Amino acid sequence: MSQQIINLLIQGLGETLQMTVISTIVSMIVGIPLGVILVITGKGHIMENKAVNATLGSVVNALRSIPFIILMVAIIPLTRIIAGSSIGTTAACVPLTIAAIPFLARLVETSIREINSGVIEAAQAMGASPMQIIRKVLLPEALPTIIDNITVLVVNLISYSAMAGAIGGGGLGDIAIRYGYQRFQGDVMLATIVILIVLVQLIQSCGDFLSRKVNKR
Amino acid sequence: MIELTHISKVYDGPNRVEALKDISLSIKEGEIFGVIGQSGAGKSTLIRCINMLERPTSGSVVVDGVDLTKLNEKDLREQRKNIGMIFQHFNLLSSRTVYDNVAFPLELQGMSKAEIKERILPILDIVKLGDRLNNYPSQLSGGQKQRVGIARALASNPKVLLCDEATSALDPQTTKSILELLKDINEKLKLTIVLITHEMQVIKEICDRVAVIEGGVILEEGRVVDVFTGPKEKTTKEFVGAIISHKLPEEAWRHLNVQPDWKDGLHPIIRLNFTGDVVDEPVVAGVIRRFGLNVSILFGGVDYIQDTSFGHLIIVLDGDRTNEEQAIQYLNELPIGSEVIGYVATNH
Repeated sequence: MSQQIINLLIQGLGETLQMTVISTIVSMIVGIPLGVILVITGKGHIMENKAVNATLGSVVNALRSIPFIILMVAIIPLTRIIAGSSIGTTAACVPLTIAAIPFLARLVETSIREINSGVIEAAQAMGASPMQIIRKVLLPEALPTIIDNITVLVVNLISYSAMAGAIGGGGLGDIAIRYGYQRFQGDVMLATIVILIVLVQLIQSCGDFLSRKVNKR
Repeated sequence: MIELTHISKVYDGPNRVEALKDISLSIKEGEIFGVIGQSGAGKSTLIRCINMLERPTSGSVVVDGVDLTKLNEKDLREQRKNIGMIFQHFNLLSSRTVYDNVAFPLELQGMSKAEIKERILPILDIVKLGDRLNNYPSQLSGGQKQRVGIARALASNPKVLLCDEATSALDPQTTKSILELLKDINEKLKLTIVLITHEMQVIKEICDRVAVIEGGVILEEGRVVDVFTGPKEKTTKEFVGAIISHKLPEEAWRHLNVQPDWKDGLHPIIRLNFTGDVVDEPVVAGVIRRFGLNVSILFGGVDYIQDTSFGHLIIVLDGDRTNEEQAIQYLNELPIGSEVIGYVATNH
């Protein structure tokens, strides 16, 4: 494999990581609170609110029902407004994030719902406010599962970022398509696959390690 | 200390449930008050009304002079700090160590780390968990978890402790030790304790007064000794019967061929209940002597409810029907409980 191809792969890996990291961080910032809100506004929960719950629930469902490749194309105008362009690695982060937010929100919602309601009741009996319950009960108690959720999200984002490559986002997926598929360079195809496998393995191991470390259940 | 006045709780909806129906209870400062009932009787709802985890549909809840039903959420949260609560399944935070679980209510109040430490170390000693501070709940036994629950409830110096089936998930040995601990803190800290349970043993062990609840209604209420010695309602009798045999064992009952009516040739079976140690006259001897009857003892025993002894004796009077009737009359006049529970032929 030529030095040129190696450089190309390194650059692709960098772009993939850039897309994954940015969209993971932004979707955590939005998705985790969204997941919390979906839980606490639910029936019988600490801040029951039917309207908010139903509205957010349907937005999340709507976004999750659009296949990523279509979402990516459909929101190009929005991508232009946010990223200034619809092509390139930064631009690809917009649809990735928008797809990741509702996905993470649902996962976080499920994790928090798994917490035994008795623990919440105990906190209420001690005079905890809703904010205190969120900060000191729901999030810490769900943390191990939320870490698992984020691991799943990152792995998914790596796979989605390959699709983003198809519309000019760059990254390993883009290289695999252009060199490995369109130019019949089997070695490049193989190299991208190996890099992706190693990357996903690493992320999964890190996630598992962290989750185990905070899990005292 | 706690005044519940005309409390009712209705869960609306397609399956409308009236969980509590016009309940009034008055719980005195420093006493241990038990509420006993089968599952679904409404006892869980009742105890949750005391700290307003369940808001009663109507009625008032006054704890330590404050009517909780009139408070807004914020003031209610403030008042809840005076009411500790422990649970059947402990409800500890799995992500926190023993120390941090006990520190939790104080953290909620914004207390500093140093103050928290000063407050909770003695409490952890009371519950004998001084050597477990850095363990997580998953590393503890059920009894230890409940001790953490108790320590957590005591951390904010409450005046009232609510116990929601606190020993129902524990084995008998551990139950005993937890009940002793509750009794101990009741005496040491002058804490008013309200507990709900479906086990009469728990009531017998530590309660001063008891209320029996069924179908959202208080059937009977009174001093534990009185309820044990003279249960009035059927449900109460069942609860009491579960740990103190008021009755002949079922097999003996069948074997004797006990009849409900006093037909000719049958003789009365009488149950005598003695409370305390004061019986001036030897009852059985008196019956034999005064009425010339043969008395056979079928069954008997003595129980202790807290510090009061409580004995019962089941006897058959055998003699002339007139004498038997006089003897029953005589027994009824004595300051002991007596009740004719059936009739048998004496050639048993």
